[in-house]
Amino acid sequence: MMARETTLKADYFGADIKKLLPIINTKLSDSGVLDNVFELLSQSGRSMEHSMMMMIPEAFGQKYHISQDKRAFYEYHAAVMEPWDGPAAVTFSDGAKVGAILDRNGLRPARYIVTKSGKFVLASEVGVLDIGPEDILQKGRLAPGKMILVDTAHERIIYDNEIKATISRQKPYRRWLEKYRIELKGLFQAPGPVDIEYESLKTRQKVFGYTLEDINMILGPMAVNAQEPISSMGNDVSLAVLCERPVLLYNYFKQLFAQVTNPPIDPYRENLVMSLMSFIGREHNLMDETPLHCHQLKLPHPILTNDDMDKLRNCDIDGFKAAELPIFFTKESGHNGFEKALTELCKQAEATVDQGYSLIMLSDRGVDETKVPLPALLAVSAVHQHLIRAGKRHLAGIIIETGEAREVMHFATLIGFGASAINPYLAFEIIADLNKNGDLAEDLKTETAFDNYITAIKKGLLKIMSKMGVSTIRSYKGAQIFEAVGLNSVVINSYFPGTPSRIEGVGLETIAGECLTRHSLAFSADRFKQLYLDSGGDIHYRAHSLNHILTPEAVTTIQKAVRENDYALYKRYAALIDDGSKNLCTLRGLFKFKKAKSVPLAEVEPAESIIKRFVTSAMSFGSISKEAHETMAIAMNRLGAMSNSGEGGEDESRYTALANGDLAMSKVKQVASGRFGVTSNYLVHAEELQIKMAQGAKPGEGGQLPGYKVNEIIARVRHSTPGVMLISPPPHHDIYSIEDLAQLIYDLKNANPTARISVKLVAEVGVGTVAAGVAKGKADMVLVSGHDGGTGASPISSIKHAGIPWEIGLAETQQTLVLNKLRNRIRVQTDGKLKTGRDVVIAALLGAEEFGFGTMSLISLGCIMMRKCHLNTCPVGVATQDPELRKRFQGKPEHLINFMKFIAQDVRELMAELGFKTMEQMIGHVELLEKDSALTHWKAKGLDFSHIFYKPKLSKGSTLYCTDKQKHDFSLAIDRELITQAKPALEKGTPVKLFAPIRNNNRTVGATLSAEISKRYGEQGLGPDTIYCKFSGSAGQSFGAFLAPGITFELEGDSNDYFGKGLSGDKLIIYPPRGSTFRPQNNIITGNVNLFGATSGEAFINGMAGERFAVRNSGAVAVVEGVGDHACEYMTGGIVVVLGNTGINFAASMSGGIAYVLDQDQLFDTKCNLEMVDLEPITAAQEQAKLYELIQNHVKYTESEYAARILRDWTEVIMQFVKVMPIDYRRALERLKKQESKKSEVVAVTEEVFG
Amino acid sequence: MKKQGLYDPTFEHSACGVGFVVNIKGQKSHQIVEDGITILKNLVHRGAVGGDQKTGDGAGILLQIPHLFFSSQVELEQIKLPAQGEYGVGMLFLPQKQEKRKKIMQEIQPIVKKQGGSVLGFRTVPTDPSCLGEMALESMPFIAQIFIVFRELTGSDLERKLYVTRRLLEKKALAMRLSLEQFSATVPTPFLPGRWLNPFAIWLITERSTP
Repeated sequence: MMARETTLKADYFGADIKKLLPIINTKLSDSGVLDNVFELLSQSGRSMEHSMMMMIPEAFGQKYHISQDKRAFYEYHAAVMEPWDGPAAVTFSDGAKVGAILDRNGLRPARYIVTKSGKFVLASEVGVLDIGPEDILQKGRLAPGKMILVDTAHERIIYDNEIKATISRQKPYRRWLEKYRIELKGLFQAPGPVDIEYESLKTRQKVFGYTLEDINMILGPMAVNAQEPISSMGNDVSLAVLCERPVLLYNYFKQLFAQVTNPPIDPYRENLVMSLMSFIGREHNLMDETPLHCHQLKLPHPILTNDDMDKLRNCDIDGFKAAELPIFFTKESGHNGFEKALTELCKQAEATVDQGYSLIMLSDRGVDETKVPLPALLAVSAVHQHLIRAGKRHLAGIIIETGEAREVMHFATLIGFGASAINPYLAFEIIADLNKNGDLAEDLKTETAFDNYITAIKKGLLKIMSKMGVSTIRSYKGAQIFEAVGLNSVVINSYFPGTPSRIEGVGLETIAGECLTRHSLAFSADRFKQLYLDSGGDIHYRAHSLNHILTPEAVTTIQKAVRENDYALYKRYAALIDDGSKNLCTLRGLFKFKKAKSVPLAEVEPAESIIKRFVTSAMSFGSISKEAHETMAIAMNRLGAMSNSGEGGEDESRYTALANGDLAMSKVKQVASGRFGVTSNYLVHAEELQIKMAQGAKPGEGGQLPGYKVNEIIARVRHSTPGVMLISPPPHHDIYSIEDLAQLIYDLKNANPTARISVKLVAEVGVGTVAAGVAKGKADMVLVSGHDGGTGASPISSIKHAGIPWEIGLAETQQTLVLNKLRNRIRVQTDGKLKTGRDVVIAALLGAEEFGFGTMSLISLGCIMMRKCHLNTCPVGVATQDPELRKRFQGKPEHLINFMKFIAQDVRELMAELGFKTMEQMIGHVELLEKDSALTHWKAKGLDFSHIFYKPKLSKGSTLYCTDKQKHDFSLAIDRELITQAKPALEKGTPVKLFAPIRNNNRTVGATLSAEISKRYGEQGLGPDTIYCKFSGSAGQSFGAFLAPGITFELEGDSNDYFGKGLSGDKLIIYPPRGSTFRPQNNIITGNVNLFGATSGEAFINGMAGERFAVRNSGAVAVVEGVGDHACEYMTGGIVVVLGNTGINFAASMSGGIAYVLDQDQLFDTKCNLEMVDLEPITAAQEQAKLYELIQNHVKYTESEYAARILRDWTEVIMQFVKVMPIDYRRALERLKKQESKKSEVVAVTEEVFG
Repeated sequence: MKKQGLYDPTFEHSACGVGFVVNIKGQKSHQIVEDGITILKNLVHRGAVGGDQKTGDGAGILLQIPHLFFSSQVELEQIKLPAQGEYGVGMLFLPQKQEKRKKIMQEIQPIVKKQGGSVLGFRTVPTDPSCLGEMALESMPFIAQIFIVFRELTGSDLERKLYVTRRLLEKKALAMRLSLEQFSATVPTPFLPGRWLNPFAIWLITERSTP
């Protein structure tokens, strides 16, 4: 947007327009900026509705059945400006009209009520204003991408269709597009053959820094599988700035990802909202609309083949000319020449634009002995920024033709810093070469390999965008959603302005040096150096290659130490790890303790109490074996410390102590986005409930447990079916923003009032502010994970390029909490490859009071870092479900206990040296750290840790560590009253009937009552209807959350979001107030995300529900009279009956359970996501009868007239029902039926199934 | 709070809950305002509370210019208000210290004048700080309203002028902040369709009037 200010011309303002600049006040929040632009657009002649449609367009891809004029309107405006992405419910008014709009993902709630007396009320929640049932005319909600308007001048409500039809037809946008949009003939058609320049192939590979790993483990797999390769465990190689060898510039950047402030998107299951389409060319005045505004080249996606480049070079279209600019500096000119070449390039680019070219093609084709390519990223960003400064950026698009780009991260950074399209010509050549040599798959056509590669890049880009909650490449382009780690401020300010970079680092000279080193190796006189590619070592450990901190030597030493309980051996291991001079991998490797007055070791807090601050990091039972998972729990429980269940439930048998007194229960229970096995009983059996917002190895992404890993026991604890794939969505579908997180914290606090609540975040710029939000949301602890945490499976690019070291994230968190006077009421934990006592002490000094060990816990128990977790072939029985391999598990609780004791002892020794007698005294005393300047090399010398070592002034009321408890406000929670009244039922099982009025600020009703049942009666709960409670009014969020068996809630009124979240038994009944006159089946009765993660029980809803009904349901049975978009998403079990209309994307990624939908207009298949499900008629009499019975119950409980009519006409209606049957589920059911032996097969896995 | 160490205030976000209530026929009544406040109160749990357990992250309401209300109030301060729809009202968040405030108010006059408008006067908005937490109190500005006319301009012409004038005032505020470092939380802002609201500002007012 800022780039286009110079286009602004408006008759309305005349010369005044200049006074408005800058339009965007960068000091404002996202909504402030949105406001700035909206104001400009709507003050300059466009109506409010028009401006909103431009700024927050709904999705208009081919999958949507929408008006052609409207699609053309959106496409035309895509050439005019980029959309606002990210979740938004926006209300707007000019005094005469007032309206609201929801973004394309529709994650925010917006409920409205129209009354007979002429009032219109819209709000985030229903029930905020008391209105008598007889006065209500209509109850609705804004659906994704929809708008609504009240026009008081014309005294009417205008709905989405009318608003948009009118706006879309006010100008002939469709004709304009047809006439002026440029679509080059043959562009983006199937790629043709590529000429391989064999002579220079190796040389060029070396110039552009290719390693064998790049070719064989990245390019090859992408060309074969059409997706990014998967790996496991975490990252343990050096940061780019610590790596002594030359590194490509891309590696100095880390992807940002959404956590809490906005949700990530699932780019595969919800890919209909995603778009890679963009326009490139000369942009026109934003304040005006002319046919020429869309005289730009339409790119369906940003990857250009070599053929495409030829076509662009030769295109001859009036007003659309391409200029080519080489990006080189000469070898002789050295470092100085590097900077000069950049400056020269920028000047040339500007001159080209002045000459009327509307396309700048930057190219590094033509490398030779003297010509050294500039880093493509630097060239793109330099030109992009230069043109912005000159006010000419909108006049031309930038395309980059480069031999450098190969993996997804490269493409993402190039686009994120300003490129519109990329041609990776060398990657294509290498793929062609690989295929020619037969190194790819058999019978693979080279053209197909290219296609696969392009597809892999496209999917990867969607994934990176969606991590940040961005759905269109138009808003991603130039958005700079990265953080630099290890670039100095001169480089940043000149070429990447606005990108956070907080520890300084290398300058332009070093970057030039890296280019020159690569180049000189490539053209070396030494044949060996010239011809042989580096083996890499970025992924797997290779001797003599990149530094890995966990060397085989370190691994075997520590394993021997813990098995033989040999502290001296531990010290040898610790020395290996801590020796920064040999092993400069981490930032803390460059830290040094200042000299301090020591205290005698005997006076230091004992190891036993230090150990209580240790936890094992979350690892799900499912990704690691039962044996490993339980051993860890037993070890930690023996120590009086805590282990973490990870995502995926826990077997009830583990809640009871074993014969020898050991307890295998995980005291920390995780609540992750998949909500597998999260029942009232699960939540009650915990001392800590941890909300996992992100994971170090793949922040912002979901996960997936392939079907073959889901054996019977895993299926049981996850409440799913053996053999059926399980998917964890990228977002928590009940956390789209910080107030939602506060709501979930409140839910969990109610579900287990004695457990502390923690939130797991991953380090990135801004994590401190999120942590402050977490503290305000009343969590008791926040965990800041480093980027190097492990994983069972994740795309390589996520492991390597997202997130930052915990050293920075932890320091930011500590500083932010202290400054905001929040540190006293929240504890801070950190994890991410903590390996020695020194690591723990550094973390404590930076502000952590608790410490998590993941990878090291596994290594203590026998893991040898094979990085095979994702293949189910772990040779030591740690990360596998294969019964044969599991037998090889050798880990004993004692091993882990020894490890923890060694660490604690090591910590004590350091504490004595530093003069601390207790851990508490040590927390936050960052002034004891300094940079070890002895340990530096050519690249690391520019690092500046002063921001990390900054200690904010302690003002009145702030502390360095947690001293208080959060003050929870349960004044509006009505469960306490219910518990008192339900005493006979809770104590003796005597049925009780209760009544309570309810309103929207009575939230999470039922969770604490359920906890009382689960505590006493476990998973099984009480008998049906033992506690029967009738409510009347508008229920607040999370009504009936985690309801335990034995409770029935009947609600006369309506309900907000998260109705029946985590339902784990018995019934929820809801119907409109008696006396209402509207038709329930056409009106919204419950909000979004009903029955999220429900595991059992029933729900009967007399009316329509909002978006994402029964998302991740794994066992509940529900009858509802209409649903919004994305219903039954990720469902793995249970039954859903929909008696009326559905929204789009029904059953996306539904791998289990069954849905029955009354398909009156026979168009349901156009709204259903058919990728994983089949639609069938219901023919079996038995099944028909079962469905009839369910609807009969619905009528019985809710008195629904509509449903009663369906029953009356049953013989007519039954054949209009369709059954939604997941293919996987049917197969699994058949298999179960046949009682096949289920010896798990070892299959080559691709962790992500791409849509 | 200012940028320091690794803390950067640009990453601050606010929590959100929205709502509006409108009479479809455009009939004005005080009840609508009361309804708006009720909605706000019933959405309290969607907001966040700061370190002192009292300071919220901002809430408020936006309404049409209450012309009748102003006509009765403003008289107290000797301002002659033109007819409904012929003037604009802006909210000003000013320093508590009187000299500083005066200085800024002096800066405002010439900017408005240069755009062809004139300042009719200011109104001090009554506040009740007793409900505030210490963090809010620390940064609580002096809240005033400014009344502006542009000769005969009305409707969207008036609005556009007010928009331009507000942008200039905002820029001025930013510039002064840089040189004088005195506006820690006192940027004179909204004039037009309103937005951020302080926890304690009950009114936020648009200049727009409706027939």
